[in-house]
Amino acid sequence: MRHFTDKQALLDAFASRDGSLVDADMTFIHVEGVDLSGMNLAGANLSGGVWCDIHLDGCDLSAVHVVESRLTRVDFRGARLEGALFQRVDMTQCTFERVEAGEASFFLSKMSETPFCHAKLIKAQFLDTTLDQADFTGADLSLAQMRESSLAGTRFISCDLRGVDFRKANFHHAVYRHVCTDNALYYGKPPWGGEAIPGRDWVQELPMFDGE
Amino acid sequence: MSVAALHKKEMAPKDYKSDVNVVWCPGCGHHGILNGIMRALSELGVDPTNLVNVSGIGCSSRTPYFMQSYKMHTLHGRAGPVATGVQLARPDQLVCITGGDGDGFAIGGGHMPHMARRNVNMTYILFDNGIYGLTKGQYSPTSRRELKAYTTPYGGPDDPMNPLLYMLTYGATYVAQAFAGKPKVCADLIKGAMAHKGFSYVNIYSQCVTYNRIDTIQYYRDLMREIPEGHDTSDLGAAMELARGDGEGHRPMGLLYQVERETLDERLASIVKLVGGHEGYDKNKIINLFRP
Amino acid sequence: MSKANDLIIRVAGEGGEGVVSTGDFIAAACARAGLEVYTFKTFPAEIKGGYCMYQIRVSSERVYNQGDTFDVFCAFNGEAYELNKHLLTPGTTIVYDYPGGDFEPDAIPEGVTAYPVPMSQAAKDLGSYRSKNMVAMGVLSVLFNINEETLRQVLTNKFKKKGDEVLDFNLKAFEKGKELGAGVKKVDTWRVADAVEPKDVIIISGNDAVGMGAVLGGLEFFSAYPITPATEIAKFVATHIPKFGGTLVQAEDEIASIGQVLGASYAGKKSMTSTSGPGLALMSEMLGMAFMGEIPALVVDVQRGGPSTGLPTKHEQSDLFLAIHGAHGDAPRVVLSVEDVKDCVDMTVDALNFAEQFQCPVILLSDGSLAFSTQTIPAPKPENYTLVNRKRWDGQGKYFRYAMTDDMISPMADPGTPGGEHIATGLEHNASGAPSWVPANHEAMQGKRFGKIAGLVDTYKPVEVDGEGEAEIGIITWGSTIGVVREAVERLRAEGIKAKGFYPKLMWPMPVAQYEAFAATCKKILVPEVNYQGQLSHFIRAETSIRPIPYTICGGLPFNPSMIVNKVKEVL
Ligand SMILES: Cc1ncc(C[n+]2csc(CCOP(=O)(O)OP(=O)(O)O)c2C)c(N)n1
Ligand code: SF4
Ligand SMILES: [Mg+2]
Repeated sequence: MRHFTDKQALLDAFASRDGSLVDADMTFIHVEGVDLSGMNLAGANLSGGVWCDIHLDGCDLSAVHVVESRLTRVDFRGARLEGALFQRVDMTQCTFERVEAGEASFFLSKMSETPFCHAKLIKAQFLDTTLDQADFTGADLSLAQMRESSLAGTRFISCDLRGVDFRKANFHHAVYRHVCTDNALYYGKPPWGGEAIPGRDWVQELPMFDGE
Repeated sequence: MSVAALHKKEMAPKDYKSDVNVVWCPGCGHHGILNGIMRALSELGVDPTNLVNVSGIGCSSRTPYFMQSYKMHTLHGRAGPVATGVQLARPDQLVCITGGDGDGFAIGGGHMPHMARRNVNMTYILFDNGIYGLTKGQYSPTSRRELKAYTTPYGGPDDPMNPLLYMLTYGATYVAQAFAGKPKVCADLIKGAMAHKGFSYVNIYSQCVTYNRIDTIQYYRDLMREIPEGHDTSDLGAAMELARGDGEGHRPMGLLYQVERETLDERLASIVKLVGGHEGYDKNKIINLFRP
Repeated sequence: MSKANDLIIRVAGEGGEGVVSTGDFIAAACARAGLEVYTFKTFPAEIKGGYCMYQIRVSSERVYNQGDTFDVFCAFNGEAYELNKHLLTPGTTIVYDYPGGDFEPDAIPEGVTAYPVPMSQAAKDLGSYRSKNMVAMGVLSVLFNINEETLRQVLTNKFKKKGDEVLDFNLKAFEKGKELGAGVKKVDTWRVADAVEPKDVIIISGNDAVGMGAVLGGLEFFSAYPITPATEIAKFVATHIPKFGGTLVQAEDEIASIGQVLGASYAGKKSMTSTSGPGLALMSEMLGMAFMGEIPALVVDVQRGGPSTGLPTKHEQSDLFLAIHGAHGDAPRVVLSVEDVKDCVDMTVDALNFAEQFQCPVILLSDGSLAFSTQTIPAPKPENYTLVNRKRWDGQGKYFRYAMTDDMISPMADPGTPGGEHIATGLEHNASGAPSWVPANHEAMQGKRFGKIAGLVDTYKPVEVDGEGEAEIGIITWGSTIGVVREAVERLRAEGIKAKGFYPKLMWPMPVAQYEAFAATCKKILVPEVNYQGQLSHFIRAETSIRPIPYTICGGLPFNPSMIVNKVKEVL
């Protein structure tokens, strides 16, 4: 795997003529200790790589494609991540505070202890993803999906959870304070207190596919 | 594609999403293809009001549900004829088929040659995962023999087909191939396909993480080779040579073939022109032909 | 044997010998002379050559069927003679090619009039064997009072296009035939009725009439796949629909035809296809889809002998089960069935209208004998047809494709309509089209889809009841058998038997109350139909309290009136 420890070397290898990393194919590389803050990486492909100690804060990362990579101490703070896809990504000590990640997808990924404070995650999808101890303080998760995700000790404080889909997630072990949960979807009784909605008709409420 | 649908809207890719939540398994390659399609539409500025998405049955055939547009979710294998009808009835619309390898080449295999040969002005995006996903993992016409699937516990008895050779042989006027792990390539090829006038076919390898455990992302990545620069896309022979794959069994990624040919709707329109057809034609003229 | 003023001429010979054109010319000449014509033909099964028969029934009054058998038989060759000689019963006349033809008949039976005429020889003397049919026409016109003037007009119109030389030659052959005919000493009394005031008619085959109905009904898209005996419909439409800016394509199979029809219909065009039983069977899955997705579509099924490849060129009425119930799941449709060529025009318009009105598949049943039967019918007046267009969304508010409405019909939106984006789907869905398998939803949606067509039994024209008061025998039948029954009922009455007829055209949904009301006035109910199982009888037993007597035949030929008359006498 090619190894980069220097921003210029990385740009030399992948930047387009205008110097940006838009749509760059940076797959199967090992990058360490590089500061790319503020750059435009929209549509870039970061799959199959190892990325350690990287600054991506303030970057445009919309529609990035990250599949089967390992990210350690990657700083995404304030980045744009709309429509990004993270699939089977192992993340350790990464930070997603204040990201703009509407409709981003996080599938089958490991993201324990990740801070998402004040992030915009409208319609984001966290499917079958480990978010134990993650922190969503002040985040907007309206209409997001957390199906089948692990939420042990996850913090939802002053958080917009309207319409969030918690089905099959272990959301009973998370921490809730000052949350807005109208129309959230979940089975059983709400862990944030109050009564379960009586007579809820799931199949009526959601478009559900039968087999074909 | 039709001009009417183009450059009509400034829309971000995500604006093409519908209210229906995507139901594919996390990890399925289809997610990436959907993103590619929406990106292509966004870049072309397609107005969803002038877009008709047609599909058959399969995991991949659920794609239209997840997008905003006019759409038809038809029968297993029958998206092609239905889309042909839509296109002929409304040549001003952008017509796009999304479907799987089973849908397209097994049950729908009888229709494939004819869309290509007739050069129906529409785009076919085939999500090729070498398996029947929706019915939980039976082997398909593109499955490798090594695959031990639900109905082939000892491996498959028959050899897989080559979709690219097939489409080239039958006269598709745009033939390309990509892999779901390369969303940018997917988007570019789909965009080219939609902008192409005539029948365009894009084969996209897509991992089925749930039922096809041998055609993994890793496998596809090693399988694909970018088409060398300098390949003449108007050379059918060269395209076929590429489609056969190189000696080491690699598969091409990129645009193999593109030519311009009259489309079916154009030819039908010229018949109308030939007879001077118009809406107000006097029906009595036809009735009079049968007077004794 | 037919009554006065009513003559049946049969011409038979080798396909390609001009049998069909002879028949066509005679039929046209009679129609031009103001007479009513009903023709019936069988085609050679072989691609080239083979036995071919054309029968013309002509009368000054309306004719409803091809009749029992011929009065006059013209044999072009020995094979034709062999195949028809058993029908040479006392009173009939045979004109045959002799000497110089390829056969010499056995002893002519007692009471049969025989006129040997050297038609081939005369044609050869004129320099072309191919003109034999012109000679025959001359002979027949003199012998049987076929209007010479109108026949000459028809021939002139036909051959003028091919140049004076061709015209002159054919007229010469015709004259030669007349000469030969004049030399025959006529001893029988068969003659075509004299000309009357010409009526405003056309003469057209069942298949062409369906095509004409499609044109009159505002058809915009047709997808075809060739199959006997339906292909002529596609040919008609292919010829004429481009004149209106419409489209006909030939698909790769029937599944694709109906698929294209559904696609074009979804895209807003009035669409149809035509086929025969095997094709309809292939379409069955798509028809389920059309029902579920509420997509207007018309399929015309010209029935043939089955099952499987069966008797492709022969007559049968055996697709009623398939048309009504040939679907997976619970998926009814509107099924109509035509009686005659006039219905082929009018009911194709009705069928297109119903598809649009109810947004569902409609199947129109015709059959092999009607397909090729030419009949004189009143010339259609385009302005007399009311065309229905589907209910379309008005663009107000949020659009729900499958919205529940009072009449259970939801407005449609054509692609390109802003705000009308929606899915047409074969998956069960809710009002918006999103998938839903909620039990209550499926039940409500099935109720909607069944409910919207249920009222048709009250709104479609009432079933025709032939006769009044109480009757000893009531005959219920469908399709082209109706025309046979009409005449049988007349004959029974003439013999003093109280008989009534009941002639449904709307086969499904079934107007049960009308069946019951009819049966209540009849002692016995007979249901003749041309299939083995008695398919209409079956539906009558299943849906009504009537216990009919089935009368089925399935030999590849239609009933004739005397068969029905005899059967009635047998069961009374
Ligand atoms: C007539 C008919 N036969 C069989 C089926 C069952 N069926 C549904 S999807 C499917 C295979 C789908 O495979 P593919 O087209 O490759 O799509 P994927 O799910 O892999 O994306 C089958 C056999 C059906 N729906 N209809
Ligand atoms: S079963 Fe396979 S093809 Fe279907 S959604 Fe899952 S991964 Fe994708
Ligand atoms: Mg598949």
